[in-house]
Amino acid sequence: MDEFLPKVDGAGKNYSISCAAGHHIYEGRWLADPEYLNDYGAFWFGGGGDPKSYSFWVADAVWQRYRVTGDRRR
Amino acid sequence: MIAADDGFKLLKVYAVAQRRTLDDGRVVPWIDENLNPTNGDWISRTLLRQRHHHPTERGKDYNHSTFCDLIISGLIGLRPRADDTVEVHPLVPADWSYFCLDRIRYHGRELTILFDQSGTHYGRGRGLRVLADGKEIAASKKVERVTGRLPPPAPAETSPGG
Repeated sequence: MDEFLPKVDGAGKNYSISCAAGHHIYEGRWLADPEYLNDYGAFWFGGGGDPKSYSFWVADAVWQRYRVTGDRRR
Repeated sequence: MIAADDGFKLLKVYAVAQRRTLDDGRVVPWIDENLNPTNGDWISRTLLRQRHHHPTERGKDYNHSTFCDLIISGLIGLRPRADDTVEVHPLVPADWSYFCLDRIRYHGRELTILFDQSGTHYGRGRGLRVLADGKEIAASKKVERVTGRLPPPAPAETSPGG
């Protein structure tokens, strides 16, 4: 679900980087198991990663995910 | 004007661009950072090596391509919607005689999208069909935009005895 496995300078916690998170959500929305994206959302917006380190199309991506899952709780 | 065939050509270019030629000449699937459109070089990777920067394989795990999304929502054409209408508009090449995308989790149901020109490949009849939880909700004799309604959601699972 992420960009980097190696330690990369400039990336955030767990070498996460927010610039591509929109891509991750667009791709991950098709996973049969919603748990991965639920966790990923919790990581970015629950105090884990820094979603403002780069701008990304988060509102669109989360809305587009909802259009696949139909789950209003996420 | 861009037509479905143009989209498929671009999708193929996009797919084959995501490769790397190893030192021994083998070409392997690869996704990295900053592809040079002229010569296929992964620019950031080359620069990291030239500058002896570590890690040299910074971009090898990039999850950027959204290939699944391009295939599901673009090529096969399941256009996600907020309402209970299922909209499918395949953009596959005109000479495809069959295709199937199965077991797509969508609004709590499982969708199947299949096209069978002769009806003999999948044995489900001729044409384009969209199934939700195994029941047909849309069909057409040819590949074109179709819509159907999602069936009511299945009752929530109950615990044994509950």
